[in-house]
Amino acid sequence: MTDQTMSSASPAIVKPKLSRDDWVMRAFILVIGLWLVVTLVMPLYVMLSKSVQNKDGFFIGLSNYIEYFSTPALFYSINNSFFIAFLSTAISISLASVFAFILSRSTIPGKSVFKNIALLPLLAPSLLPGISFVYLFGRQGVLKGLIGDYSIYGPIGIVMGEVFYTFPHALMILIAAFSIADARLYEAASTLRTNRIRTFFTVTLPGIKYGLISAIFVVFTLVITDFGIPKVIGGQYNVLATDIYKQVIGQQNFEMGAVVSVVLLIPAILAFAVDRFVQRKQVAMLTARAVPYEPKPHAIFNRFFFLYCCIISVMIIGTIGMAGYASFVTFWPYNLELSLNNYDFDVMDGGGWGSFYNSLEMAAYTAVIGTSVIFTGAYMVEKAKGFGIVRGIIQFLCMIPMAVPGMVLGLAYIFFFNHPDNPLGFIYGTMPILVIVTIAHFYTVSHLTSMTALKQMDPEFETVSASLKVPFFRTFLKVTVPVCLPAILDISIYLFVNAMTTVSAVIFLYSSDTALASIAALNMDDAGDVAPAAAMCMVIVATSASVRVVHALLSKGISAKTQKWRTR
Amino acid sequence: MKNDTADLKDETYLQVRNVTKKFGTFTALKDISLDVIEGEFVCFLGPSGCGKTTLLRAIAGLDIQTLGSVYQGGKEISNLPASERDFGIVFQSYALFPNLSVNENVGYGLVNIRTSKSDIKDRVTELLSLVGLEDQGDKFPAQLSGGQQQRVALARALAMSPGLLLLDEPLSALDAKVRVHLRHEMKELQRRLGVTTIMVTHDQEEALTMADRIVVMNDGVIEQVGTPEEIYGHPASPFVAEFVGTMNFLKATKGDNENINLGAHTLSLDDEEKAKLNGADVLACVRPEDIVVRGVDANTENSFDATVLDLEFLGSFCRATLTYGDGDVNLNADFSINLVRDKGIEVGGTVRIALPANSIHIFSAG
Amino acid sequence: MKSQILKTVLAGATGAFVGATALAGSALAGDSLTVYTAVEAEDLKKYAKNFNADHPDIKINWVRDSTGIITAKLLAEKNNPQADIVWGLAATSLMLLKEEGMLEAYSPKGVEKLDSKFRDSDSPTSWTGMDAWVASVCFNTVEAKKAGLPAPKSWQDLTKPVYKNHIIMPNPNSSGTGFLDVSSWLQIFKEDGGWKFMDSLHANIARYTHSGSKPCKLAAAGEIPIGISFAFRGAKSKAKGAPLEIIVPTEGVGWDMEATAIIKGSKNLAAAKTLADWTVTKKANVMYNKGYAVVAYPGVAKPVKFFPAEIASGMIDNDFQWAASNRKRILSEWQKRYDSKSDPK
Repeated sequence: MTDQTMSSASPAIVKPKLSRDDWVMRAFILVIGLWLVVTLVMPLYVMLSKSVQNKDGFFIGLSNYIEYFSTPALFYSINNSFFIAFLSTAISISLASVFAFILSRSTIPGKSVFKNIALLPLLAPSLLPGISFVYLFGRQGVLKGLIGDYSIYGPIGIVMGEVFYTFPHALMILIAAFSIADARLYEAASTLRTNRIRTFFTVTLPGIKYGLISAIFVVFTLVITDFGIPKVIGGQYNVLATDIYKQVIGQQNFEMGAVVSVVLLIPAILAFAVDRFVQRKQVAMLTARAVPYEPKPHAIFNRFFFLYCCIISVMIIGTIGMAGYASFVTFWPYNLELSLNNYDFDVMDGGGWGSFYNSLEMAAYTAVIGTSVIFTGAYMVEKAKGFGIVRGIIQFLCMIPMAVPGMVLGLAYIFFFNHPDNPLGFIYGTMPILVIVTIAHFYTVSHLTSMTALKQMDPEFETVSASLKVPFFRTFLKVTVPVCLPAILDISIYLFVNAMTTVSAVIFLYSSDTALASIAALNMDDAGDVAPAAAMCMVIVATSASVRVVHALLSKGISAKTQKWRTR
Repeated sequence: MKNDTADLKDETYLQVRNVTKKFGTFTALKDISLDVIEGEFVCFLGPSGCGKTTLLRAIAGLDIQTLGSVYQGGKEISNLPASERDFGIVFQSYALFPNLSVNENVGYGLVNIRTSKSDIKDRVTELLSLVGLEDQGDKFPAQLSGGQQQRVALARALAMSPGLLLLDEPLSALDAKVRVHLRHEMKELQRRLGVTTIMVTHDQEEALTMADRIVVMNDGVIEQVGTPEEIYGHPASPFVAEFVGTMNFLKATKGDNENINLGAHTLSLDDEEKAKLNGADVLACVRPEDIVVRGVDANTENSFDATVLDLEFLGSFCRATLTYGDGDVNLNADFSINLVRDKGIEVGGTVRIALPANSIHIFSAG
Repeated sequence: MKSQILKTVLAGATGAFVGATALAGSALAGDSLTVYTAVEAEDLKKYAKNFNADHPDIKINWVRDSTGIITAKLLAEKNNPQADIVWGLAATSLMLLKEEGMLEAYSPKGVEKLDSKFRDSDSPTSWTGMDAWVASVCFNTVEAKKAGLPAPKSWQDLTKPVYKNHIIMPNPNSSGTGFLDVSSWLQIFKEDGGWKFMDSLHANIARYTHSGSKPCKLAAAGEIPIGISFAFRGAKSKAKGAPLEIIVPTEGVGWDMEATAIIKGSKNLAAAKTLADWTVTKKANVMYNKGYAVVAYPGVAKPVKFFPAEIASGMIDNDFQWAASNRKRILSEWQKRYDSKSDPK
């Protein structure tokens, strides 16, 4: 009877008890959140808050912004930045779409060779196209006739460089988009006697819409935040990213540099927000009943496709090959005798072969630690229950690095980690800080790759484990990691390759013991040793390429052993 | 396992009390209360979005209810996470671990309770033979057929001898033939093990053939709880009547002597139904297979002439579309093939039909 | 296999942290100096070797990068300086650091023997010069011949229409060398004349670069006939076989010097002072003279191969103080005049 009186009161909201798994996951999420706060948010805050401070660190409101916005040069930089970004994006996406289409929807021979060639630019430091384009299209360039009276030093060179640099990024996203195709739609189209062109516009294009939008925004953001190529080949063509360089390196005006960084963040974040918004609308393209698309040969198209792939491949190989050639030339263009002297890095600027070994070490640590942190983090954020706000914030934080120019991140690290009150100050000037900054710099793409892989996992694995009283981390190690192994290897290779080539952030953070090969190349070029710089670039390309080959063999081996469940 | 099932039969094993689940402003479950008896097989049946899966997930502790409580085996589990509850679960997708062999999948939870290797092996063999997959233990899930995968998932769910087995649309990804076959097999297995089972399904046939009791849900509330016969024969609401089986809904008005007027015809009712005559307008419901032709003449109670508008051949029987009176009201009736032959029923012809008083269900209209 | 990979991953993560601690530990040990520099790497080995011949107990850890990066790094580390000493950075950068209060005032033993132009005028000194870093014009004879260009003799020659689009110079907003050029012109031609000169020069400039050495490198590579840069770079390229002539314009040339300064807060002050003392010795200056024609120690300099002989006499009486205090104004004026125009094709 007392029961009755009790229940007449308004019923209490059930407060779910958290399981041990929930607690562990939340703890992990907090650790990941803390990692992001320490390696990203706090440094950036310290750096960007300088934009509202004067030289002595006093808050002065928006007067730096007002000063910056009252210089007419700014508008040229904004104009130029957008012009370059739009043009590069349009060219890069157009070229990459066709290439991706051919690789995933045609039957031409040598597709894997073409794909590997197309991804080569990922392995090259941004200095490499700079050197090659000058040797190819400069005043003494072997192909200078191709660009007529125009100069390579300026928008043309920047756009060419950016297209070279962003092409593989766009290609990877677009290949993924094209490979998600339901053959039934094509069968339907062909039974309705739709011709290939109409099929392309009514079936193919809508199918890749989301991948295409994603690729556009990634390329746009990459171009607008890149300063390497405009600096090396851009001449006096001002863009926002080189404005930061001018302020920070040319005039040691960190406050103004921070202002430009904030301005630069806006279009990048905007692009990202739009992309995220659009992606949210995407519905699963592949239903359980979809049938994978098997391309059918078409003689005439194939001939054209093959030719197209050859042309693109020749351009990429030509650019890298030119740098390879440059690395053997004694003194361009007046003494074309070939020699191996340029590979004797120990007598050159920049740390010699030691810097190369440092780079290898740094890249290996970045790949191993970065992959563990990023993939585990993505898993926790994707699979944890509740804790929505924290998870949302982490998701957002993971997107920021894409929009932050490396130079800004590097300086931010000095201000934050070298502050006398920072208990983490001991990592300043060491290998770990280089590893940490590189992980932070390349977090976004790795995180997105992890999320994509994790979203393909059955969401009920964790539920089943819970019902079987198996702690989630056993399922994570026994099931999630093995099933996602291809994606995990992709992330580690991505981090490795980028760690080998990155310059912008680490240039402020390396010390005498931790000079890096990519910086050595830049310094050698600065010192006028163009050929040795090209040689170092080639060593980097060769290293990353071999690591990729090893990775491919390894994946094959691992697949044979652990992925046999994939085959029926 | 239960040593004396007979004795425990009447004992309530799972109690759901006043459970409400809200997702933001949307209320998915509205004050649900339900008892499940030890060892019985209960089906949650309803259209998609009715809340049946939400209720299952609340019982499993996967999406804990906003208000209300749940008791299992006399113990309150209202706020416990899934890992602290006692259940095995099979999903529509089966959620088999693709990189683990069948043996490893089935033994997945056993490894954790630190039984010895040989114990695990024995138990896995036992479970696989229970579902008829003794010789498939070394294969990977992708190498099995859908039906086999489903059975592996079932074996895995049963591995820990759970007190409660939850099945979330476990058969809906299968071909029709396999599905029918597995229905019996699963029901048989459940009966043998005596494990209290809740299955979510939108397939009424599945529910009718497998369940001891069916919980029909709609729009976040329970419409009716009952045995398959009760649900089918005595639907508690128009929704149940329409959702389970086929039903003719005929607009009628209350007559003078506790009977109803269907157009020009007056139909008498069972006593039970007479009690439901509240307003002037009512809905008289009749299942197509309850409409009688054989032995019907002018004097048969509740009989009248109808015109055959259409005959649809459905294999073992024909579904006739009939009209009576003014011709604007249609009525479906299922006639056996030999009835159609014997009576010479054809499109455009007339046939005398009867709606027996005990087959008419009355609901208030509107 | 799978768990093997995971073990490796975990081991790697642990290793990284242990490694971090170990590295941090090693930084504290021993009598070693962290020396920031912008001197060419190939010279650094020689510098360290010569210094260690006299002081084998002090180990030098170089941190080398371009002038802009090193200066930015030093300033960014202001709150917690990492460098013990700077050996070989533009004096104008060191003046900036002095203004920020980042330099230790210390007169190295024997500093009075240096040419007074080559040391801080305060006593004790905050910085001491090593060698002069002189602006000049790199002239590619082969490309000039192709284009039919006469060799310029003076700055004013460069404004002649014949050189239109044949000259490259560094952007003073990005490069210290560029600013050196601009500030020297303003001193040589006085404020009005200087801007007028630059107006006409601007008409002939093909483009401005971000790096100070790039114009000379481009000239050496035949990408442009004339690059306004500095003599040292030109001499180096010439030594490698570039068909360059290094021209010292008759009006005189701006210059900066490479200099040395102890960073305030150095944890190895004694060793830093030892190094600072050594950097002003005659021996050190003889060493600087291997690459630079003009050095701080009077009477040491011998002509350097590939350097123009008249370079010492061409150096103007550079007023660094004036240049430093007017820097912001000059740069914004320059930007307004020349940087805002849209880029030529």
